[in-house]
Amino acid sequence: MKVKIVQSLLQGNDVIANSLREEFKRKGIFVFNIISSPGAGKTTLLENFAKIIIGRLKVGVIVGDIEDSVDAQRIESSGVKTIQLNTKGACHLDAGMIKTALIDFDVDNLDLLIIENVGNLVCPSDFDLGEDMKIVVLSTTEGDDKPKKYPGTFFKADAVIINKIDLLDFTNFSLEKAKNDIKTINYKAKIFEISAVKPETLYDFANFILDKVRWKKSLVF
Amino acid sequence: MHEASIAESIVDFLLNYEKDNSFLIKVITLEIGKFSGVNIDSLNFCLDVVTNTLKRDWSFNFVERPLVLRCNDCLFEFESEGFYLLCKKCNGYNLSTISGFEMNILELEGEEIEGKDCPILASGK
Repeated sequence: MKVKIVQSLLQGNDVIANSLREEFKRKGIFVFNIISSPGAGKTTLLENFAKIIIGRLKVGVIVGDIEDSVDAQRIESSGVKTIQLNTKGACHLDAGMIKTALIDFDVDNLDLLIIENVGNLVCPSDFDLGEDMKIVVLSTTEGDDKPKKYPGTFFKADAVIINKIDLLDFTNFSLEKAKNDIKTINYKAKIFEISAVKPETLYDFANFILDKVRWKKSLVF
Repeated sequence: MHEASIAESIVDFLLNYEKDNSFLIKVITLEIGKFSGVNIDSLNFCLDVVTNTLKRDWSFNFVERPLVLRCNDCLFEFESEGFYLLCKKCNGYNLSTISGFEMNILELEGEEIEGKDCPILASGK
Protein backbone atom coordinates (compact mmCIF):
# COMPACT_ATOMS: atom_id res chain seq x y z
CA MET A 1 0.00 0.00 0.00
CA LYS A 2 1.41 3.39 -0.98
CA VAL A 3 0.90 6.58 1.00
CA LYS A 4 1.72 10.00 -0.41
CA ILE A 5 3.29 12.27 2.19
CA VAL A 6 5.34 15.23 0.88
CA GLN A 7 7.01 15.83 4.23
CA SER A 8 9.95 18.22 4.36
CA LEU A 9 13.25 16.71 5.54
CA LEU A 10 13.86 19.83 7.56
CA GLN A 11 10.49 19.41 9.21
CA GLY A 12 11.96 19.52 12.71
CA ASN A 13 13.36 22.99 12.10
CA ASP A 14 10.50 24.20 9.90
CA VAL A 15 7.72 23.46 12.39
CA ILE A 16 9.46 25.68 14.97
CA ALA A 17 10.30 28.32 12.35
CA ASN A 18 6.69 28.55 11.24
CA SER A 19 5.45 28.89 14.81
CA LEU A 20 8.00 31.68 15.35
CA ARG A 21 6.80 33.30 12.13
CA GLU A 22 3.21 33.22 13.44
CA GLU A 23 4.25 34.76 16.74
CA PHE A 24 6.21 37.54 15.00
CA LYS A 25 3.19 38.21 12.80
CA ARG A 26 0.80 38.36 15.76
CA LYS A 27 3.06 40.78 17.60
CA GLY A 28 4.00 42.88 14.55
CA ILE A 29 7.75 42.25 14.92
CA PHE A 30 9.85 42.61 11.74
CA VAL A 31 12.71 40.11 11.69
CA PHE A 32 15.81 39.98 9.53
CA ASN A 33 18.49 37.29 9.45
CA ILE A 34 21.89 38.67 8.47
CA ILE A 35 24.32 36.23 6.85
CA SER A 36 27.89 36.54 5.59
CA SER A 37 31.38 35.07 5.69
CA PRO A 38 33.35 35.72 8.89
CA GLY A 39 34.77 39.24 8.80
CA ALA A 40 32.46 40.73 6.15
CA GLY A 41 31.31 43.35 8.65
CA LYS A 42 27.97 42.14 10.08
CA THR A 43 28.71 43.19 13.66
CA THR A 44 30.17 46.59 12.76
CA LEU A 45 27.15 47.22 10.54
CA LEU A 46 24.76 46.32 13.34
CA GLU A 47 26.68 48.39 15.93
CA ASN A 48 26.34 51.52 13.80
CA PHE A 49 22.87 50.71 12.44
CA ALA A 50 21.67 50.34 16.04
CA LYS A 51 22.98 53.83 16.91
CA ILE A 52 20.97 55.33 14.03
CA ILE A 53 17.63 53.72 14.85
CA ILE A 54 17.84 53.39 18.63
CA GLY A 55 15.56 56.34 19.39
CA ARG A 56 12.99 55.37 16.79
CA LEU A 57 12.44 51.65 17.29
CA LYS A 58 12.44 49.03 20.02
CA VAL A 59 15.13 46.67 18.82
CA GLY A 60 16.44 43.31 19.98
CA VAL A 61 19.41 41.41 18.60
CA ILE A 62 20.34 37.73 18.72
CA VAL A 63 23.96 37.01 17.77
CA GLY A 64 25.21 33.53 16.85
CA ASP A 65 28.85 32.50 17.15
CA ILE A 66 30.55 29.19 17.78
CA GLU A 67 32.22 30.62 20.87
CA ASP A 68 32.67 33.89 22.75
CA SER A 69 30.42 36.85 23.38
CA VAL A 70 32.48 39.72 22.02
CA ASP A 71 29.97 40.45 19.23
CA ALA A 72 27.02 40.70 21.58
CA GLN A 73 29.00 43.00 23.88
CA ARG A 74 29.85 45.28 20.96
CA ILE A 75 26.26 45.57 19.78
CA GLU A 76 24.89 45.97 23.28
CA SER A 77 27.24 48.91 23.86
CA SER A 78 25.19 50.72 21.18
CA GLY A 79 22.25 50.58 23.58
CA VAL A 80 20.33 47.62 22.17
CA LYS A 81 19.40 44.48 24.13
CA THR A 82 21.51 41.68 22.66
CA ILE A 83 21.56 37.98 23.45
CA GLN A 84 24.59 35.88 22.48
CA LEU A 85 24.06 32.29 21.37
CA ASN A 86 27.11 30.00 21.36
CA THR A 87 26.55 27.04 19.09
CA LYS A 88 29.61 25.14 20.38
CA GLY A 89 30.38 23.82 16.90
CA ALA A 90 27.19 24.15 14.87
CA CYS A 91 27.92 26.22 11.78
CA HIS A 92 24.51 27.92 11.59
CA LEU A 93 21.64 29.00 13.79
CA ASP A 94 18.43 27.01 13.71
CA ALA A 95 14.86 27.80 14.70
CA GLY A 96 15.12 25.93 18.00
CA MET A 97 18.00 28.16 19.09
CA ILE A 98 16.02 31.30 18.24
CA LYS A 99 13.02 30.02 20.19
CA THR A 100 15.25 29.54 23.22
CA ALA A 101 16.84 32.99 22.90
CA LEU A 102 13.45 34.70 22.60
CA ILE A 103 12.63 33.82 26.20
CA ASP A 104 14.97 36.63 27.28
CA PHE A 105 13.15 39.29 25.27
CA ASP A 106 9.98 41.21 26.07
CA VAL A 107 8.32 40.26 22.77
CA ASP A 108 5.27 42.37 23.54
CA ASN A 109 7.52 45.43 23.30
CA LEU A 110 9.62 44.80 20.23
CA ASP A 111 9.43 46.40 16.78
CA LEU A 112 12.49 44.84 15.18
CA LEU A 113 14.42 41.63 15.86
CA ILE A 114 17.80 41.26 14.20
CA ILE A 115 19.46 37.84 14.00
CA GLU A 116 23.18 37.92 13.26
CA ASN A 117 23.94 34.42 12.01
CA VAL A 118 27.19 32.50 12.44
CA GLY A 119 29.84 33.69 9.97
CA ASN A 120 29.40 31.21 7.12
CA LEU A 121 28.42 31.72 3.49
CA VAL A 122 27.16 28.14 2.98
CA CYS A 123 24.79 26.73 5.60
CA PRO A 124 22.84 29.52 7.33
CA SER A 125 20.62 30.27 4.33
CA ASP A 126 19.26 26.70 4.42
CA PHE A 127 17.70 27.06 7.87
CA ASP A 128 14.48 28.98 8.24
CA LEU A 129 14.43 31.00 11.46
CA GLY A 130 10.94 32.44 10.97
CA GLU A 131 12.43 35.66 9.60
CA ASP A 132 10.82 38.12 7.15
CA MET A 133 14.01 38.74 5.29
CA LYS A 134 17.46 37.25 4.69
CA ILE A 135 20.17 39.87 4.20
CA VAL A 136 23.56 38.79 2.87
CA VAL A 137 26.64 40.95 3.44
CA LEU A 138 29.48 40.75 0.93
CA SER A 139 32.58 42.86 1.53
CA THR A 140 34.84 44.24 -1.21
CA THR A 141 37.87 42.58 0.35
CA GLU A 142 36.36 39.13 -0.22
CA GLY A 143 36.37 39.37 -3.99
CA ASP A 144 33.67 39.98 -6.58
CA ASP A 145 33.50 36.27 -7.48
CA LYS A 146 31.69 35.23 -4.30
CA PRO A 147 28.10 35.44 -5.64
CA LYS A 148 28.95 32.96 -8.40
CA LYS A 149 30.86 30.71 -6.02
CA TYR A 150 28.09 30.67 -3.40
CA PRO A 151 24.96 31.07 -5.52
CA GLY A 152 22.64 29.21 -3.14
CA THR A 153 23.07 31.85 -0.44
CA PHE A 154 22.73 34.81 -2.80
CA PHE A 155 19.72 33.18 -4.45
CA LYS A 156 17.86 33.21 -1.14
CA ALA A 157 18.77 36.76 -0.17
CA ASP A 158 16.07 39.43 -0.08
CA ALA A 159 18.78 42.09 0.09
CA VAL A 160 22.54 42.14 -0.42
CA ILE A 161 24.75 44.68 1.30
CA ILE A 162 28.10 45.31 -0.36
CA ASN A 163 30.31 46.52 2.49
CA LYS A 164 33.74 48.17 2.76
CA ILE A 165 33.21 50.28 -0.36
CA ASP A 166 35.72 52.70 1.19
CA LEU A 167 38.38 50.05 0.47
CA LEU A 168 37.53 49.64 -3.22
CA ASP A 169 40.69 51.45 -4.35
CA PHE A 170 42.81 48.86 -2.52
CA THR A 171 41.15 45.82 -4.09
CA ASN A 172 40.38 44.31 -7.51
CA PHE A 173 36.69 44.21 -6.64
CA SER A 174 34.47 45.27 -9.54
CA LEU A 175 31.17 46.65 -8.25
CA GLU A 176 29.69 46.27 -11.71
CA LYS A 177 30.60 42.58 -11.97
CA ALA A 178 29.42 41.77 -8.46
CA LYS A 179 26.09 43.54 -8.93
CA ASN A 180 25.56 41.96 -12.33
CA ASP A 181 26.32 38.46 -11.01
CA ILE A 182 23.98 39.02 -8.07
CA LYS A 183 21.24 40.13 -10.46
CA THR A 184 21.61 37.06 -12.67
CA ILE A 185 21.35 34.77 -9.64
CA ASN A 186 18.65 36.78 -7.90
CA TYR A 187 16.88 39.43 -9.90
CA LYS A 188 14.74 40.66 -7.03
CA ALA A 189 17.43 41.21 -4.40
CA LYS A 190 17.82 44.84 -3.33
CA ILE A 191 21.47 45.90 -3.29
CA PHE A 192 23.00 48.45 -0.92
CA GLU A 193 26.56 49.79 -1.11
CA ILE A 194 27.93 50.90 2.23
CA SER A 195 30.86 51.28 4.50
CA ALA A 196 29.77 50.02 7.92
CA VAL A 197 32.32 52.26 9.64
CA LYS A 198 30.83 55.36 7.99
CA PRO A 199 27.33 55.88 9.41
CA GLU A 200 26.33 58.35 6.67
CA THR A 201 26.36 55.46 4.16
CA LEU A 202 23.83 53.52 6.25
CA TYR A 203 20.84 55.85 5.92
CA ASP A 204 19.35 54.26 2.80
CA PHE A 205 19.46 50.86 4.45
CA ALA A 206 18.04 52.29 7.70
CA ASN A 207 15.12 53.86 5.83
CA PHE A 208 14.51 50.59 4.01
CA ILE A 209 14.28 48.76 7.34
CA LEU A 210 12.09 51.46 8.91
CA ASP A 211 9.62 51.05 6.03
CA LYS A 212 9.60 47.29 6.57
CA VAL A 213 8.97 47.70 10.29
CA ARG A 214 6.04 50.03 9.59
CA TRP A 215 4.63 47.56 7.07
CA LYS A 216 4.88 44.67 9.55
CA LYS A 217 3.18 46.67 12.31
CA SER A 218 0.35 47.58 9.91
CA LEU A 219 -0.53 43.90 9.58
CA VAL A 220 -1.51 43.69 13.24
CA PHE A 221 -5.09 44.63 14.00
CA MET B 1 25.33 19.39 3.63
CA HIS B 2 24.19 18.22 7.09
CA GLU B 3 23.16 14.90 5.60
CA ALA B 4 23.80 13.18 8.93
CA SER B 5 21.30 15.29 10.85
CA ILE B 6 18.85 15.07 7.96
CA ALA B 7 19.19 11.26 8.03
CA GLU B 8 18.43 11.24 11.78
CA SER B 9 15.44 13.46 11.27
CA ILE B 10 14.11 11.18 8.48
CA VAL B 11 14.46 8.12 10.71
CA ASP B 12 12.69 9.88 13.62
CA PHE B 13 9.84 10.77 11.31
CA LEU B 14 9.55 7.22 9.96
CA LEU B 15 9.56 5.63 13.41
CA ASN B 16 6.88 8.04 14.64
CA TYR B 17 4.82 7.51 11.50
CA GLU B 18 4.88 3.75 11.96
CA LYS B 19 3.82 4.05 15.59
CA ASP B 20 1.11 6.69 15.04
CA ASN B 21 -0.43 4.96 12.02
CA SER B 22 0.15 1.26 12.84
CA PHE B 23 1.91 1.01 9.51
CA LEU B 24 4.99 -1.09 8.77
CA ILE B 25 7.07 0.82 6.23
CA LYS B 26 8.96 -1.06 3.53
CA VAL B 27 9.96 1.50 0.90
CA ILE B 28 10.57 5.22 1.29
CA THR B 29 10.76 7.56 -1.71
CA LEU B 30 12.70 10.79 -1.13
CA GLU B 31 12.52 13.77 -3.46
CA ILE B 32 15.74 15.82 -3.60
CA GLY B 33 16.13 18.94 -5.72
CA LYS B 34 19.40 19.15 -7.63
CA PHE B 35 20.09 22.55 -6.04
CA SER B 36 18.82 21.78 -2.53
CA GLY B 37 22.39 21.43 -1.22
CA VAL B 38 21.72 17.80 -0.25
CA ASN B 39 24.03 15.22 -1.79
CA ILE B 40 22.09 12.01 -2.49
CA ASP B 41 25.08 9.67 -2.13
CA SER B 42 26.02 11.23 1.22
CA LEU B 43 22.43 11.05 2.44
CA ASN B 44 22.15 7.41 1.38
CA PHE B 45 25.35 6.63 3.25
CA CYS B 46 24.14 8.43 6.38
CA LEU B 47 20.81 6.62 6.22
CA ASP B 48 22.68 3.30 6.11
CA VAL B 49 24.68 4.27 9.17
CA VAL B 50 21.68 5.47 11.17
CA THR B 51 19.40 2.55 10.26
CA ASN B 52 21.86 -0.30 10.66
CA THR B 53 21.14 -0.57 14.39
CA LEU B 54 17.38 -0.66 13.78
CA LYS B 55 15.62 -3.91 13.01
CA ARG B 56 14.06 -2.52 9.88
CA ASP B 57 13.90 -3.68 6.33
CA TRP B 58 13.64 -0.17 4.90
CA SER B 59 14.56 0.51 1.31
CA PHE B 60 15.21 4.11 0.17
CA ASN B 61 14.50 5.39 -3.35
CA PHE B 62 15.70 8.81 -4.47
CA VAL B 63 14.03 11.02 -7.07
CA GLU B 64 16.23 13.92 -8.15
CA ARG B 65 14.43 17.03 -9.38
CA PRO B 66 16.19 19.27 -11.90
CA LEU B 67 16.26 23.06 -11.66
CA VAL B 68 13.24 24.19 -13.68
CA LEU B 69 12.51 27.88 -14.05
CA ARG B 70 9.64 29.88 -15.52
CA CYS B 71 10.11 33.31 -17.03
CA ASN B 72 7.45 35.66 -15.66
CA ASP B 73 7.82 37.92 -18.69
CA CYS B 74 7.42 35.47 -21.62
CA LEU B 75 6.11 32.43 -19.64
CA PHE B 76 8.80 30.14 -21.09
CA GLU B 77 9.67 27.17 -18.86
CA PHE B 78 13.12 25.63 -19.07
CA GLU B 79 15.66 23.51 -17.25
CA SER B 80 18.92 25.05 -16.10
CA GLU B 81 22.18 23.28 -15.26
CA GLY B 82 23.49 26.11 -13.16
CA PHE B 83 22.63 29.24 -11.27
CA TYR B 84 23.01 31.58 -14.23
CA LEU B 85 19.37 32.58 -14.18
CA LEU B 86 18.49 34.23 -17.45
CA CYS B 87 15.48 33.25 -19.56
CA LYS B 88 16.68 31.03 -22.39
CA LYS B 89 14.08 32.55 -24.69
CA CYS B 90 13.89 36.29 -23.97
CA ASN B 91 17.03 36.81 -21.78
CA GLY B 92 14.89 38.26 -19.02
CA TYR B 93 15.86 38.13 -15.32
CA ASN B 94 12.36 37.86 -13.94
CA LEU B 95 12.22 34.14 -13.18
CA SER B 96 10.33 31.90 -10.76
CA THR B 97 11.55 28.50 -9.58
CA ILE B 98 9.30 25.57 -10.46
CA SER B 99 11.54 22.83 -9.07
CA GLY B 100 15.10 22.13 -7.97
CA PHE B 101 15.15 22.85 -4.24
CA GLU B 102 13.00 20.04 -2.88
CA MET B 103 13.94 18.12 0.27
CA ASN B 104 10.95 15.85 0.91
CA ILE B 105 9.81 12.43 1.94
CA LEU B 106 7.50 11.89 -1.00
CA GLU B 107 5.88 8.52 -0.54
CA LEU B 108 5.82 5.57 1.82
CA GLU B 109 5.06 1.99 0.82
CA GLY B 110 4.20 -0.64 3.40
CA GLU B 111 1.38 -2.46 5.11
CA GLU B 112 -1.07 -1.77 7.86
CA ILE B 113 -0.51 -3.68 11.06
CA GLU B 114 -3.40 -5.05 13.07
CA GLY B 115 -3.62 -3.55 16.52
CA LYS B 116 -0.89 -1.98 18.62
CA ASP B 117 0.64 -5.28 19.66
CA CYS B 118 3.35 -5.35 17.04
CA PRO B 119 6.56 -5.50 19.13
CA ILE B 120 8.62 -3.63 16.56
CA LEU B 121 6.25 -0.67 16.51
CA ALA B 122 5.75 -0.71 20.26
CA SER B 123 9.47 -0.49 20.96
CA GLY B 124 10.02 2.26 18.42
CA LYS B 125 13.24 0.48 17.47
